[in-house]
Amino acid sequence: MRKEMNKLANKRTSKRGQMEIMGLAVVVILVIVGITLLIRFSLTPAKQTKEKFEAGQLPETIITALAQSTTDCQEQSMANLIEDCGAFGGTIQCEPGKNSCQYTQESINGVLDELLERMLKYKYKVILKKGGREDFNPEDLNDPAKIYLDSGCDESMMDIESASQPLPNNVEIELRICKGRIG
Amino acid sequence: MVLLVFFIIITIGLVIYGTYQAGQIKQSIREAFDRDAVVIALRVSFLPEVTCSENNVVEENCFDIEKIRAFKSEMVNGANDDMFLFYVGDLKKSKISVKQLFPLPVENQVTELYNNIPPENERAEQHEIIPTFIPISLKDPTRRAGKEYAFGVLTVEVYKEG
Repeated sequence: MRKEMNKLANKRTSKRGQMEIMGLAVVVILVIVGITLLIRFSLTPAKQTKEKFEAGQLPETIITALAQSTTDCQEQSMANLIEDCGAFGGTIQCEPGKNSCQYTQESINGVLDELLERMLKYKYKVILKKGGREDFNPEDLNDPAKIYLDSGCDESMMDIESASQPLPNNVEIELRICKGRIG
Repeated sequence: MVLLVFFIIITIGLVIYGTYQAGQIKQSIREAFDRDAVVIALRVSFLPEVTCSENNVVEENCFDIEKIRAFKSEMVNGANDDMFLFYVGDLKKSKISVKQLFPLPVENQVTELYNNIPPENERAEQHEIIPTFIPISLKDPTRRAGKEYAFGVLTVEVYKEG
């Protein structure tokens, strides 16, 4: 009789143990679900109003304002110099030994270095296009009749915002801004 | 036993959630600051007192150098208190300046249009100055047509406490 009662008690204890393990499993599942949800929400990128505002129309504003600005190279506009470089290979002489391509490249580099790299901490790329196609090969890097600037814009890694300014003679200048912040 | 583990887990969960929420609140406050800075920057970039216009047609992203000069002479150094007070409501505690970047001017000067940022010794211990940069054209209407533009940057710095 006593043996049977002990058996029954053992059965009840093991059943209660199973219930506890079941309860623990439910709690652990709930915790895992909670943590997953928390991680998911915390990884959702935050809205960055200021960054969106600054970067959104930046390339367009820069390229338009820069193209219409008057240079100290024979009082030509930047657009005229870029067009001369793209269409005729730099026939306008700005300074002794400096044609429109070299002058433009140097000036644009100076402006973008100050504005994009120092102030906004963005990388950039400037490409001259002829007839809608990129007019640049890696071997043209020091060609005085071309314009090409790259401050280390890794297009495969960064978000790109770009704008281009069409000019006469099928010439076009394109500015790409890499939004991955540096520094 | 299960209840004990349950309560321990709940407590840990609440602590983690609390920390996460505190971070979120900080981020929301920062986001609100940023939004304010953008609103002020937008107000400035469309301020008719300084933007370029030709026959009442406003040129986008363009500031008139002559208008800037006139505005500055009235605003800076408390020259015209009434005018300053008129703008305080819209421009709040900010500093607005314009700098020509191309062609490089002889004197590398920054033209300050408005400054209501407290001086260093009057600033709160926990403060932040949020800068916003907007590229602009600078038009000198006294020059020949087609030769009157330069390239510059409008800087709007907004002061925030806390």
